[in-house]
Amino acid sequence: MRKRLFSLVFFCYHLLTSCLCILALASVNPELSHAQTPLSLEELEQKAFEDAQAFVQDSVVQIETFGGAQIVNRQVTSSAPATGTILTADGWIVTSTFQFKSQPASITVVLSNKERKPAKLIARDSSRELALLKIEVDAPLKPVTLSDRSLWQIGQWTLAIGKTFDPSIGSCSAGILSAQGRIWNKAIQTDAKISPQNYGGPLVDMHGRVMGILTPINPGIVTEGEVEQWYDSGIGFAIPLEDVLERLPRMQKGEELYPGKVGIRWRGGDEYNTPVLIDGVTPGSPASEAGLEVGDKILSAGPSPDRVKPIANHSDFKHAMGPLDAGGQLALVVERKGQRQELSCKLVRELPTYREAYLGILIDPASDPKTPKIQFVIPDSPAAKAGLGPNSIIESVDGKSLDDKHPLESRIANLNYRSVVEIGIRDPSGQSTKSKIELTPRPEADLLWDYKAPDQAEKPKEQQPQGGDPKQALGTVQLPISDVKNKAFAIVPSNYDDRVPHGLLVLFADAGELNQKQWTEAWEPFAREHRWIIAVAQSAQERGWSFEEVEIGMRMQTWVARSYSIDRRRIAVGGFATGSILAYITAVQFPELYRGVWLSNAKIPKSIRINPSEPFKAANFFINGIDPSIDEFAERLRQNGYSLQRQSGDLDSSKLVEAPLLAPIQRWLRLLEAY
Amino acid sequence: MIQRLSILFALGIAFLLAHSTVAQEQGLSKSASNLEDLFESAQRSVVKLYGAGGMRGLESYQSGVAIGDGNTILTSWSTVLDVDKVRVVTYDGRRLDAEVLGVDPECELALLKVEDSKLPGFVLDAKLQVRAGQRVFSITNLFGIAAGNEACSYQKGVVMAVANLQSKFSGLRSVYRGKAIVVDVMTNNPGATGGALIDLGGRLVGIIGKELRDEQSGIWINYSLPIDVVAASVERINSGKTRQATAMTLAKNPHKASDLGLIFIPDVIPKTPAFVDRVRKDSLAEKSGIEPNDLILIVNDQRIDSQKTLEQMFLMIERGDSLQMLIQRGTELVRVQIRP
Repeated sequence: MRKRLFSLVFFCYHLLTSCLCILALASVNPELSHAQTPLSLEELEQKAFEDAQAFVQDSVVQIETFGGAQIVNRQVTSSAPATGTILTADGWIVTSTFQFKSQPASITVVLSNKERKPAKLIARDSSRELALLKIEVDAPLKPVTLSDRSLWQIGQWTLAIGKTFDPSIGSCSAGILSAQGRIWNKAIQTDAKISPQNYGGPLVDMHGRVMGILTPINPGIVTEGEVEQWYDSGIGFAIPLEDVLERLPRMQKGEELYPGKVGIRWRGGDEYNTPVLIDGVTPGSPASEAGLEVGDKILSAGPSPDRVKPIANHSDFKHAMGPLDAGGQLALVVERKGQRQELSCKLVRELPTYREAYLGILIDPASDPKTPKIQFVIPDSPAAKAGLGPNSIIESVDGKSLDDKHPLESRIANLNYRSVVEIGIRDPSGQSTKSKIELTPRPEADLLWDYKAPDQAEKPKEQQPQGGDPKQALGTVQLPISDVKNKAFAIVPSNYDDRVPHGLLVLFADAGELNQKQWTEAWEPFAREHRWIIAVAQSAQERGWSFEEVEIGMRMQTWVARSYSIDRRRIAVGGFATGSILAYITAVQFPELYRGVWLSNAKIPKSIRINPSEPFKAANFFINGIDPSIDEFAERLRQNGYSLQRQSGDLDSSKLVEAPLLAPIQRWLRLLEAY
Repeated sequence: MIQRLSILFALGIAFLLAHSTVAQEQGLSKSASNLEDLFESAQRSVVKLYGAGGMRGLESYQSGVAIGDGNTILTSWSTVLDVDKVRVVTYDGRRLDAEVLGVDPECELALLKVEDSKLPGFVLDAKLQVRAGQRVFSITNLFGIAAGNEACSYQKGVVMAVANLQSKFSGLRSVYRGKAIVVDVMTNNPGATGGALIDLGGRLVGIIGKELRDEQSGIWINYSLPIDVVAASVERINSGKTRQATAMTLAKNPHKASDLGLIFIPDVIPKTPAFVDRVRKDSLAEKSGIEPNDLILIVNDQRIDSQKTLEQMFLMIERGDSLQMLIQRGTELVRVQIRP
């Protein structure tokens, strides 16, 4: 019986399909020249597109802006209409920040019945490039319907709806859901055409229910305004509506949202294969306030203790942090010395400015990193005020001992420059004491003392090479940089000794100018006395440097560091006039490598970017020159936490040897290694 | 009895099954070949055109469609046609010479005449309307990829919007400013202009326009001229009633802000909003109800995003004509009519 029933169902099914075929054939209109049987799948899809579009279109509005700056960040901003999405019946509308970069004098919203309403910009979400508008309504609006996220499938149809063409009929671009969890878990991705034509509009499913709000967010956003490079590229993003609604109450109160920052750093390594082991905690940051410590391993993270997800690698942690806003919570489970600990941080918009804490001591480079020996205490420095003297050994910092993983450098880097640190000392007589030192940032005028003082004690005569046959070339060494036009040479001191680590100064000369003899005469004595190697590069073109030549400096640094013994704490980069920009860019690209940046006779473009200083990325600057751009740049550097020496006056490179500026520059170099 | 019945029934089913399977197979193959047929038959009406150009970024080739009896070719009016004889290459590789019958500068369309083309022509059905979300296909010789008897290329897309090019994009430098079908696929490539936009029924719904970019936002606009616009244009060309492109006509004796009694805040930035600073006593503006601190948003349906736009707008309106304004006053939007 069951079989027969089955057959019957089968029969009916086939009868039906045959009938449909006949019907389909019958519907052909013979009058039309190219008319054929309509393709049912495509027709059904077309019907679905139109229905979905029709369902949502009254919840999508046109937004107009009037007046305001036309150029933002050297880009012409659009004054064309934009799109918004109605969230509530009483007039809360979400849109993208795209059209508000120019701070318009007036914003209006045009409803689908062409009614125009003045709108107020209530708040922005800078993390997601969204803005919230409010209009007053006479009759309830039709808000959007939320699409159920749990039913989404990669590859399903999506429609991007805009209102830029016409306020009453939505524009429509079809594509599929390409991915979820993009831009550090903030956005979903589609291959529908996303551009200013629909930014602020909804991305809907085939029922017309809203999956997300289209925004110009992309992973490469560095500065405001740099948003439009991904039009028409098969890739576009939307912020899930659920995430927008979750933040709606905060934004309705006028609260501006920013990405949340916590203030921890971790060691490099394969982003997808390395656990998050905390290597640094920014002093005064949420992480530091919550009690996170260097050495903690993050096991799980999330917006609240009940919503934490396991963290296996750096990427996991970035995905957990991505959606979190300033002012919100970051709940963490960490492993500390084998114990699980639960912590919670309140995230902030800006971390406190980091400044390197300064003690005022030089360490004997020959001493063991576990027991660093003080070589010299800089007069009037915090260490000098606390009574520290030379030849003592530093045993601990705030009760924490020193070892290979946590040398003095990393203990100091994580100190708050405004705090008091307790240093454990073993003096030359073998007595251990503790000294409290009141820290300061590195002072601007610490070049006044006579730097010769420590050097008498520093280098015993027996360390000098015995006139033997060194492996390395000494004197003026031409650097083998092949396949480029640039010439480069290094001044290697005649007393070079492989057993003693040397400082390295990489210099970009002024374009078209390089007097090898002058340079050697000016720098050889310093190089010999303080054990430095000076590497100088010449521009390929006489007229000027090109930005690609930044790479030359890196190649010089690599070659010298491979061929000679270099002290990691005494690597600096410098530039003369046109070369100074290259020096600065080099330092920005490799902030962990260069402890010192010397800019001479510089002209600094206003638009140049300064990254805030961070532990291990807090170079010391020496800037000399008379160009008015320098002072503003110097002030910005200070605000971003960098210490700097500012000397007025250009350095005359044709009379380098007699230049009065040479002495302070060389003293500054000598002090780079100071803690 | 039951046994026998069931055998009979099974036989019957078997027969029907066999029959309907055949029917279904036919249906399947029918629909598969339909797509092919549809493309095959539509592309017979699309031709490749070769003429002047080939330097300074100007292509020497484009697309065209045969209409009516097949001896008229409809295409874009461009520099390609600046030759005595335009070379037409048909779907089956035949080379024909064409003469320009006439052009419509406003729509940037041209009609060419060929002799005895033996091409099937598209019907120009002005009643065919497309809607946002509708599926469309373009058939063009984009990038000149096809030559001789090689088939033109198909692209699939969805109609984004049917909109007026003029009012919506301030950065557009297009001669054609009327109603356009904008699609969500890059159809307007070099060589594609003059090609066909068809619907799921294989019917011509538009003619592919030129490459067009909104200079302000940097977006490429992929548009086609809708079939009703095309049909009207063809009729104008055939009857010799084409008009020259007229962008905006300046008024002989235009309005002036100062004559109306409007004094604006100083125009100091590139887009100073049209904020009214003062209204002269007993002026037309005052009588119409304009007040200090009003912000003028719209004049005669044109958006005023700065004092400069307003100035230009006034230049288009005759002094004797009245004008409508939408004004923002605090949080209110107010309509004002100025009647001279």
